[in-house]
Amino acid sequence: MRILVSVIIFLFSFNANATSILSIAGKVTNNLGIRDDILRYIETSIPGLTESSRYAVMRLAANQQALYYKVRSYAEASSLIVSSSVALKCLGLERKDDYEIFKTIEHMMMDTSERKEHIMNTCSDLFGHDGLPHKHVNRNELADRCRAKDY
Amino acid sequence: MNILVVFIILLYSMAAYAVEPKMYIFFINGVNTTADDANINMEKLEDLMNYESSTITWNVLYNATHGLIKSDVFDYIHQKKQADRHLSIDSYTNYYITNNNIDCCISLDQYENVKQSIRLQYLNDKKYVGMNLSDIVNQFHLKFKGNKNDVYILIIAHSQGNNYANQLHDYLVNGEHFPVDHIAIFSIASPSHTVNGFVNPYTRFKYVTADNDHVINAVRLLPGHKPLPANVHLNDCKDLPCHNLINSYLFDKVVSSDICKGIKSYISLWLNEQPVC
Repeated sequence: MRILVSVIIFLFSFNANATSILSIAGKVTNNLGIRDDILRYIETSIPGLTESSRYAVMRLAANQQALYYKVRSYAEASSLIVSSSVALKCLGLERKDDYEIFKTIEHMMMDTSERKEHIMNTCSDLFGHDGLPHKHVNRNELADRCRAKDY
Repeated sequence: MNILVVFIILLYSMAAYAVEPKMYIFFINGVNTTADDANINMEKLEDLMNYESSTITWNVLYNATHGLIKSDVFDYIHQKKQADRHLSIDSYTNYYITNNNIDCCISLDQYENVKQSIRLQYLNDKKYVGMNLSDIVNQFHLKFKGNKNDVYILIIAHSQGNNYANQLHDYLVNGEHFPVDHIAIFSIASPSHTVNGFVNPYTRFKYVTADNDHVINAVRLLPGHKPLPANVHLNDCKDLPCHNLINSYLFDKVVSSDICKGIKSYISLWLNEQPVC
């Protein structure tokens, strides 16, 4: 009987954790992997986005959602960090407010204390010990990659 | 013909391998900074230099310190206390020797052996250092591939990252015997009262702290805390406290130019290369 109770409690806590992560992650009903309210912000609140700059912003938002709520390995997380780095550089080729846009999306990702704590814990767990990847992209390569949306 | 092609490819590969970094530039971020943001901060500094060189490698040493404001401030205050008490690895070793009743009259070699044997303990002892120093040291070892006697290291740190920069410098010099004149720190918006490390003797320029940086000014009000005197003014800030690296220190044209010159001075001195600011 005790074993049964322990198993039930274990299963309940496992499911509770899964549920709480989902509720923190927020609603994603689009096929872009971007939280619905953040997608709305991108589509309605950033004037003057071109096709390429819109792609870059969406990449930033989708990468953050994946990084904090889906990724399971350092390799996956590193790939997203590198992609976001290139996305921001591509955005920066067209706009001077690239960093402001990034920070607005980041703030929206951390708009509750639970989300902020989860995100900072994830960053710490993923990168605290082994650090961040860095792949230098030179200027010529960057222009080509931005044009090809290769990130 | 095939042999010639192979020979040319071989020569080219050897030439490529021959260019190893002579200088590492590491960036350490402040508290509550996501991994993305830390990476972007470093890249904006790299963009500021607007200089491509095969002999310089840029990297982030990610400071994962985070939490409620209370715990971040606690971590900073705790680090500050230890820095003020000069709890370097040597102090820690002496304390260890005393507390463990190790024979007082040990030779220098024996002392070094004790110091090396407790090196990891020192790094992980949260009573003495900030929460993340051991992680930062680990990251350094993963990124630094050079010979410590042949390579130069510049650590650029923002805000609370400066405390880790100072500790990392002290650890590398005292714990791993990196040459003292091979590691410098360029400090931005530091709450610390020192910038440890080698200073360019020609420029003597090692930090920027704005007189209107409201975060640092608030630290000045804490008893026993004396950040370095302000030496710049931010005419343009995009963040309210005028403390953010990208939105304030790199946004202001004059201050960002000063930062560029500060970093450039080490590149010029060590590599005899001349980026333009």
